[in-house]
Amino acid sequence: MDELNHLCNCIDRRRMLQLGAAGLGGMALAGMQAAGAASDAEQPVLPHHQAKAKRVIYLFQSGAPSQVDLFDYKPALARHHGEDIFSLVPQTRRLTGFNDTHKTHPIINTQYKFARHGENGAWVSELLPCMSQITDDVCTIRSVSTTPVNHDPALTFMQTGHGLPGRPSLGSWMSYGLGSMNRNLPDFVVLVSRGDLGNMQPLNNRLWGSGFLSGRYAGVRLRSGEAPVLYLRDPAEKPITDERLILDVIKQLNEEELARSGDRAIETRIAQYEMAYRMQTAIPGLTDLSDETESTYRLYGDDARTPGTYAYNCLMARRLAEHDVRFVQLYHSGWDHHFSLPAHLPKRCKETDQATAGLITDLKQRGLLDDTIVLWGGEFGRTTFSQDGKVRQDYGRDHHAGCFTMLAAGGGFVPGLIHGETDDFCYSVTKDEVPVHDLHATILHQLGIDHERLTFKHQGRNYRLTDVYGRVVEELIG
Amino acid sequence: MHCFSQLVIPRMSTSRAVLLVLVVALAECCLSPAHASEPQRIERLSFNRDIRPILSDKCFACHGPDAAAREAGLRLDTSDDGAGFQGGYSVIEPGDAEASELVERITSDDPDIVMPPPEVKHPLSNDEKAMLARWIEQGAEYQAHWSYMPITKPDLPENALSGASDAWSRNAIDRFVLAKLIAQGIEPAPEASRVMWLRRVTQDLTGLPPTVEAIDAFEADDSPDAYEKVVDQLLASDDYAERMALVWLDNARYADSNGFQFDNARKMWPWRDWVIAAFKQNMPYDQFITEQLAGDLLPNATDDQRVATGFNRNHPTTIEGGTIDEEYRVMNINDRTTTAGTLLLGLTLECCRCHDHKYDPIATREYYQLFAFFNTSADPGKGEQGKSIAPFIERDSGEVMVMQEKPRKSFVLTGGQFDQHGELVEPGTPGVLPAFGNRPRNRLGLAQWLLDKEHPLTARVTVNRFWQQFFGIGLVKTPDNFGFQAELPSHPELLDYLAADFREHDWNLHHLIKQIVLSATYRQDSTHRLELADPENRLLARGPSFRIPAELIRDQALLASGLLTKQVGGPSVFPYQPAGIWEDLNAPASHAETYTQSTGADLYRKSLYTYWRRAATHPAMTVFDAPSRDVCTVRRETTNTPLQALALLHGPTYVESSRKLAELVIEAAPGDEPSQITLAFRRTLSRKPTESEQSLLARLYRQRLQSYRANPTATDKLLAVGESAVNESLDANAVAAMADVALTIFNLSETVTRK
Repeated sequence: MDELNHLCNCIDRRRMLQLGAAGLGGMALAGMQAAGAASDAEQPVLPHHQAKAKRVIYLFQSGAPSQVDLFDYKPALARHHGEDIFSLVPQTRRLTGFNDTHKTHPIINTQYKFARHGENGAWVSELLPCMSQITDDVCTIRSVSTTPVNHDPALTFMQTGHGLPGRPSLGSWMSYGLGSMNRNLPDFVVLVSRGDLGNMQPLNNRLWGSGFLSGRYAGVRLRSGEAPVLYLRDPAEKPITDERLILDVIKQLNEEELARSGDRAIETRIAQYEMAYRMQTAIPGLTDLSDETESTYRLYGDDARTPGTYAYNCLMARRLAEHDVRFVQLYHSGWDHHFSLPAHLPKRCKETDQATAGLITDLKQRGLLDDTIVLWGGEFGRTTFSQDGKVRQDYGRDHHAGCFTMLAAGGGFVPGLIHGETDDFCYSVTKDEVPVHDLHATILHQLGIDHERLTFKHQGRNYRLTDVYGRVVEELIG
Repeated sequence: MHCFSQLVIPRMSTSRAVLLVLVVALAECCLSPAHASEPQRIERLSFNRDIRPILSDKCFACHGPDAAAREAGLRLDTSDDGAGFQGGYSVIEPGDAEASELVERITSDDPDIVMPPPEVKHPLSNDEKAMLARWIEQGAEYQAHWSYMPITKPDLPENALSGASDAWSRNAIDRFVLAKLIAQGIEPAPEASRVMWLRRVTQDLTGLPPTVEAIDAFEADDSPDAYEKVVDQLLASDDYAERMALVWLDNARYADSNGFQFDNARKMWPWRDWVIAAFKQNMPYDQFITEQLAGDLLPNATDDQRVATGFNRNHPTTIEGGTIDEEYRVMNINDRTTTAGTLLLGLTLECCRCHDHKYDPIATREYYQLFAFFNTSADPGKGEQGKSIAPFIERDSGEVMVMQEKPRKSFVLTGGQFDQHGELVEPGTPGVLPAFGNRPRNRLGLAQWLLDKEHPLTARVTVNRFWQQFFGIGLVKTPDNFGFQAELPSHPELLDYLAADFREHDWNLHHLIKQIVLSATYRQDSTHRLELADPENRLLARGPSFRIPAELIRDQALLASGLLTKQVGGPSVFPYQPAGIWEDLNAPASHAETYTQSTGADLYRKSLYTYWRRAATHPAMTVFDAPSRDVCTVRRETTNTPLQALALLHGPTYVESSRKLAELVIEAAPGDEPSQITLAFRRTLSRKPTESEQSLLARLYRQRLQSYRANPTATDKLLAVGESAVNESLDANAVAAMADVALTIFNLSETVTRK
């Protein structure tokens, strides 16, 4: 029965039935054969094909970093500094409400020096000295495009494939589709850090919510501080051995009730109490960094010693990957540089550059990068023209959905590839556009999932992460 | 279905000959997806039950109601002719599967010919192919969709074994349920014990378990109307009104915050209090709906009726900089339209914003006609921080958002884009439903149309939702979808009976609910009957059991411990919450809000009154599946996760309640631990512990007492949890040890289950 309990932990009823059909026929599944079982048989058995990756670490830069100040080098900006962009390219995209009343939209050159790096000769700004060192390990996608131009819908779109609330996030789809790889930790963990900026974008729980999928697939936020998981600590501080006495009685009484009532939900509940017990030792072990050496901090930077920083969360992401947590979602906020970009962008880069590069290097050294996809990017890009219609030293840039840069490392994404091109003014993609749904389709593909077949029927419709869109971008994965 | 899985199906180079063999083989099996658990043979396939679900799922996307997406001019959702398109009969020869092109296409090996096309990756299964072929063999008879047909009150079934008035049935519900059980050769479950029934009905009607006094009184009452007296008392209570409101707040997406972006505070609780008052006075359901949809349009509308229209304003709103007002205004109108669709019509309308519905016969134009009813409202799309968005009325020294008409033209929005105006449309309702008639083309007219006695959906959808509340699952499993893609009702005649009866009784909720809770069906023991292979209890061959909602888990512990503050209405309150939850939202200082914990009695109000912040709902609620209320929710999930265990073991509410319950039982029976344990058990679980439960808990008590005596610091720490005063007159170690017993009881599966 232990084995069954464990299965109940990890998989939902549908997948249980498939297992039943696949040969574990001796299991006492009779009680679970629901009236809906006929359609269960059509649920795809995962993976759909051989997976290249089994984990994802998504380093979300919330607020939207400026691609033209970091990765997408545009020498033409210097020549046309101060000119109205729409005298150079036709306006084909709506402006945000911040900008739609300005008479001109002057181009602002970047203040930062760009140089080519690595064997692939990728252009990277001087603001990212560490990430410049690993361009050959990273697939640079300069041609990502999205649809919404405001933060809330764009974040929601990037995370769930749809701009309105209510759909499952990428991590939830993955957890739903692939199930758990470990016994002691959630499948989908969320880590949040913030950059210091007046106008920060809020991070709503629904970004890692499970939408219409079961709540068990929602992301679990690991917080900094004494209780990384809510209610992990007993406020009365009983030693875990004392709590075990209580848990033992709960278990025995629940077993009696199971025998009396035949309610199989009790079996799952018994298993979940055991998992809750194991989490109480597993999570403190995870956050106890005493087993890290100095070389770790040389790699990630000294900030990695401080809980709550981006660097600490990157280190935690590696530790979670080592524990086979499927999906680790980081957010670092403070990238929304409408004003005084030169005052803020360097700070965000300083907070994130070394740890991002450190994480990728660390995973590579530990042999984890082969089957871990590391993603880096924001919810959209930023305009090459000025925020406020004026040319000024402390410029800012508005939201831009037409094109922006994202990075993908590991998990079969072609290392060193530079994919896609944008026009001289970084207004539109001119080659190899990668819409968000295509990116999602490609990520799922690497995980062994056909994005058209991982569906969930809700309100009578088969929903999927990629809605009715999505194409696996073969070029990105070789 | 079981027998089908045993058929050896050749890897089908599906020639039609093979297929026809299959048809014959299947005729020996029970294969209807909607009735998979029924062991009877199905002689004749029904379009509604067997065929439409297949066509809808696999074919309608290209050959259904959506004209723009229709391929080859063929639509399979209807039989014949019509204007300028080919119906199903152009590819079907009724009575002759072999001569039907449809069969040829679905069974072909040729990837260029086979349907659905392989690239769609949504193939027909072999049994679906066989069912389609067999339906054609049987004459290919189309039927109108059941939920769009008028509701006629069915006669009560004459139960074959027992005659018209059998010994088991207590009311009409039971006659329908029993008829189905008899047809399946199944006996109903035995009656639940009195305590179990009392606990069940008290939880269902008040959200709380019965008190020990109420249990004793009921067990002592052997009068014939003892059950009914209890129900009448419960229905008259404030607790009942609050319990019903709890569900409606999910339906109506009520929250105390704006939702989008920084998710700042709003004041809509006077609307919430209107809902509680409406349930308390048993307002007829038609009036309840009319006032919320269109109270402002009633003649001489009162302030109360205008407050009721806050229903339409409950959706999230934004103050995000850079957003375009009209875009969000349209989003708000969309929300009102789809909320009405989900909640009142049981129709999913979201997809019609951009294209004709793929499954149900609702065109984009018809969607925007419904939209037009809500579009003539005065409120803008976007608000400003810290301000109510007009129109509002003054209420309880604040501003409550309400509805107010403002003439405005409505257009089909091409591709769902707010600024892409297509054809001009007038308010109107979908053609597949009864005509709108001469009613005023405004929200009031819409309400009248919805509540008309000819309307096929509103009453069905409503009684189904209430059924779900009492049985954990609706007669139609998808309360939000009565369209083509929905599963058929488990008891179609019962659904229609209840719907017609509810309407005949002037939409009287007490009448509907009394019928349900006084039925023999509801009174059955809930022990699972594994031999029936019916885990969801669709046959109703036992009493319902399911995990109670998040709010009630907490409220029950507060009641058991004597901490619960009973006070109806008023501003929302702030119970214990782990530090930093709101700070985690990362709002800038200018928009940040601080969670200021309530004090005193407000810490122990019912969870109904907990401040509902959409972006950061209370974590102890979220782990037990409370929705964010961003959108209309008509069914909550019940998950089972380790985070729930942590919340119940370590949530300060539960630790504090366990201490207060310990104090209470020690005071009630000083020095008598077995009685203390029994009382703690009864206050939480209503029943008395079994001998084995009693002895396990007593042993735990002794172990814990020893441990606390040896470690007074541990005792102090336990007693320090929570704001409520410690009863200094009691032995602290005994309180701590008994608190651990109480916490154990709070954590039992049975405690969080209503069975």
